[in-house]
Amino acid sequence: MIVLAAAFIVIPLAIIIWVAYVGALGLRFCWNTLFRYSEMETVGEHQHGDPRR
Amino acid sequence: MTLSPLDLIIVGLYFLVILFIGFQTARRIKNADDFSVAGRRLIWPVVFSTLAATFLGGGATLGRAGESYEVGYAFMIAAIAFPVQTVLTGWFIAPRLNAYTKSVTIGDVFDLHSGKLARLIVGVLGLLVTVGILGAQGLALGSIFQVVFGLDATLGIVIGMGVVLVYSTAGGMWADVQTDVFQFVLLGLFLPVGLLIGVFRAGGPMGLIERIPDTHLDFFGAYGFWEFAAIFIAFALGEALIPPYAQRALAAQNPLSARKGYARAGAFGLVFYFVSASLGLVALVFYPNITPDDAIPTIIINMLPIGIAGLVAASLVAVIMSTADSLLNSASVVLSNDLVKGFIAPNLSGRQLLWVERSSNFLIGFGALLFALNAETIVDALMLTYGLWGPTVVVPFVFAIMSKRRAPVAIVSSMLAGVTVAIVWTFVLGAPNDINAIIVALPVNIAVLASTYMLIDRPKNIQTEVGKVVTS
Repeated sequence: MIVLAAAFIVIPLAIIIWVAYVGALGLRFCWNTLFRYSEMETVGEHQHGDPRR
Repeated sequence: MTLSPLDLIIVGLYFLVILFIGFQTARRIKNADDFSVAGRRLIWPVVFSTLAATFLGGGATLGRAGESYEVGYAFMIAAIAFPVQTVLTGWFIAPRLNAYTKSVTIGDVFDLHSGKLARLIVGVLGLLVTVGILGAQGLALGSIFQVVFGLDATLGIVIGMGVVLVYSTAGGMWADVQTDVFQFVLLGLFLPVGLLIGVFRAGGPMGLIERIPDTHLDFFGAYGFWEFAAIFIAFALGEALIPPYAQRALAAQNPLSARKGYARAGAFGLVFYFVSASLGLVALVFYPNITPDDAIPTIIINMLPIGIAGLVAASLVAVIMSTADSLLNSASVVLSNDLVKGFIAPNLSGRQLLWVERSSNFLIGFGALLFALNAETIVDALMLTYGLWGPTVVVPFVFAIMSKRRAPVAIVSSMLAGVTVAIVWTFVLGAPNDINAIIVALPVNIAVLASTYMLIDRPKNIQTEVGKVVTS
């Protein structure tokens, strides 16, 4: 019963800490994919010029 | 009771963020690979988050809480077979699967190892299974909206599935993955917070344990050994490597990312089941006369403080939507790649395939929405096909990937034997003594695979050309 009682506290806390860590890595990847790469592509297009112009 | 205006604003913001991510991501979809495997660029934390968000759906949250409300921890312990299987699959299968750099579906892999007929069987079965689970998620969304937000279930299905349909069609797997990460963070942070609050409301851990009936803390509960074993095996193989899970192993940027993301997601599922099941027991202690499946929604609207209730409610919606979007994307990729490109129009260009994938995504999503709204019996019928996946596909698939050999006769004959026995057992005999078809059909599936391989395919000993596999 002591183990179960400890699990009620330890497991949720461990999950929260782990999710905060992995979530930060995952969200940074998503942020870069959503915004950074878009900016880089836009810059790239300007540098190379649009052949249709 | 219903949620406060602040809680409803939080849930509204959640929907806005999801739609924003979906539309922002749509610009990144340039070819069919982007739509189906996110350009094969996912790092392990993203594979981890999207896989966990996908397999933690209505069953793993509302369902697990409801079952523990009824019978206690015993069901959770039997169901742990699924995360354990996911850890093993992640360690041994995911990196090898990731080495199939020209494949986007399980059908592609089977085509390489066996031929077109195997692609057809797994394509049809994969499509039925994913659409069936998708329809069930739609129904779960409806009941969440009804219980938590006090809205009509029909409106809930239209809002929830409608949003999924829009961003999934626009952004394909990129949108699914990016929204999954956000949804995973929500559910991973706030459902455990809900449990902590429930435990302290019950007077702390020991106070809660004293109020839980002893029968609900038993290892086997009310189950006999064989019943327990049947649930265990069904969970171990029932949805192993279904299309959305396999797709995530293929989308990892390298075999090592596939292994780390996949195996760690399995380990996460192991502890997350404890949170869902314990929420069911908290509900039992405080609200002993509710419908079991309403355990978590009842905690949200009655027990949690303003603000937290909105975040946990948004997490619950996120749980379902993150599963639904992955299933929808997978179903459209299976239909486009395995069936349309595989049989109807083999010479599709990349741009045409992308168009077919987007159209399939819209049509399947719209169909699932209609089924969930008007034809629960169709969803139920499709869910019956769920029981056909485990005894048909899993073992031949694992065999193909581990052996790297071509086995045209063995793979097709074992799949046909497995699916035939499962269909006869379920639909003709009516599953005697409530024994899951997998218990009967899986041994036949394995026996036919082993015997036909040894007798027919092995003497030819043809190896397939797959990429080098990272195994360290």
